[in-house]
Amino acid sequence: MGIKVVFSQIKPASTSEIILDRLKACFAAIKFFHKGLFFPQEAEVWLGASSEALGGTLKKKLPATNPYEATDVLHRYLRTLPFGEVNETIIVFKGMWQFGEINLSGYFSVQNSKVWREVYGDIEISAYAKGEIEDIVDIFWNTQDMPTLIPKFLQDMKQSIQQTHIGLSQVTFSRGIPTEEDPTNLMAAYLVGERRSLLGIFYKARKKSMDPDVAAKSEPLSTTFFLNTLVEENLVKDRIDRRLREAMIVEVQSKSSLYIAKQRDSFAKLYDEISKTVLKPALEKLPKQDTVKDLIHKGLEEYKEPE
Amino acid sequence: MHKKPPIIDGRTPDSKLELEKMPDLQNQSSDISYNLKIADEYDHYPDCKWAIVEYKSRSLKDAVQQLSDTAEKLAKASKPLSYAFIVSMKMNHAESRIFRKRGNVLYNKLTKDPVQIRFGNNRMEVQLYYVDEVEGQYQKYEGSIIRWVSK
Repeated sequence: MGIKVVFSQIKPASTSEIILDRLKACFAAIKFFHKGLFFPQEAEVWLGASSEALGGTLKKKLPATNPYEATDVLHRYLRTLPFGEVNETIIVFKGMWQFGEINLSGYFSVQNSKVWREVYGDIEISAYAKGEIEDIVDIFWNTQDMPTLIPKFLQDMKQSIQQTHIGLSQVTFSRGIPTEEDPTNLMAAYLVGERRSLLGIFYKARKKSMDPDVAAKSEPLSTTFFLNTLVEENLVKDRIDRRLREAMIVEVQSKSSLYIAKQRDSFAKLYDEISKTVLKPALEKLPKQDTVKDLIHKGLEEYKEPE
Repeated sequence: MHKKPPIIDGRTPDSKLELEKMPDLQNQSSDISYNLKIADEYDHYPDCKWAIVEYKSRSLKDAVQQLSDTAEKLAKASKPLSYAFIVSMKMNHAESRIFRKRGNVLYNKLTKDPVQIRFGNNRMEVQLYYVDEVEGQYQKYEGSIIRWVSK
C-alpha cells in the first residue's frame, strides 16, 4: 500500500471545505516528493470508484506535470460539482516514482467517498508492484534514510495544512493495506497520543482477530476504561518502553508519537510481545463474558420485589 | 514467491511469458511510465486460450488496475486474451469491505457487479484465485497424471 494518511477535523467546516482541504493536503504530499522521487503526469477525477473496471466513472482528466496548476484546476472543478457527486469523488494523481535506476508507476489519491476512505485512508500514496518489488515501502526502506525522511514528511504535511480545517490523525507506512485486524504489516506509524494509541491498535487487533484469551474477556469491558487504566500503570510503561527500544526507532512529540520499524518484522514482534506481556496478563484475572452474564442474572434473581 | 497460474478446464499453460519483457507492449509508447503498470504474466493454455496473471500485488484495487492496463495494451497490439487472473494469498480484511469473491469471480460489493476489465470492445470478468486453491488444483492435477502414467 505504501503510505496511508488519515485526517481528523479540527475546526468547524462544511463537507465541501473538508474535501478541498484533502486536495490541498494531497498537493502538499506530492510537493514533498516532487522531482526528487515522484513525477506526476496526469490527474483524474473519478466518481464512485477509481477505475472503470471497479465501476467508477471518469469525470475529468488533465495533465499534472505541474501539480500546482493541476491542483488549482481541480480545486475549481470540484466546486462546480453537486454535493452528492463531490462527496463520492476519488482524485488520482498518476505518475512515476524514480528510485535511482528503478522506475515504478504510482499514484497519490484522495478518497472523498466514505467507504473508500475507510479502506484506503483520506490520502493513499503508492506504486504498482513490479518484478520483485511487491510494495513501494520495500523500496523506500532499501533506498532512503527513513528515520530522517518520515519526520520531515510529517513536519512538512503539518505545516502545509495548518491553515485548513483538518489535522493529521494517523499516518502509516505499510506493506499492503493496514487493517484493524492485523497490524503486523506496518513499517512506521505516526499516531496522535503517546503509548495509549499504540496499545489501542494492538488491543483492537487482538479483539478483531478473535483471540480467545482476549475476546471472551474484552466484550463486557469498556475499551476506554481498559486503555486508560493500562497507561496509568508504571509496569505497562516499563514493559512497552523496553520492547520499543528493541524493535523501533521512537520519536515522542507533544501529543503524538512516531514509531519506525528497525526491521521488516519489528511491528509483528512488538504486537506479539505487547500482547504477551501487557494485554493478556491485564485481562487474565477478569471474568469471562459468560461469568459476567451469570452475575447479572444472579443479581436480578436475588432482588426481591417489595410485596 | 508463488508463481503458479490457475488450472483451467484441467489444463496448465504450455507457455508463460513475462509481460515486462514483451517488446510488443513496451514499444507502444515513448512515455516510459506508460509501460510500467502491467501485470506479471501472459500465459498460453491449450485450445488457444490466453490469460494475463497478476501475482504479487498487495492490493486488489491495484491488481485490477494492472490487469486493466495490460488488457488495453494487448488489445492495441492485437494480441488475444481470454482470461484475467489475480493470484493472491488472501483477501485483505480492509478490502473485503469493497470486494467479494464468489466462486472465482471478483465482485464489487458496493455495486454488486462483477469486476470487469475492458478488452477491445468486450468486457472480461476478473477472476481471483487464492494461492491455496491453486496449490489444491496442482495437487489434484499431479495426482491424476501419476494415476494416468501408472496405468
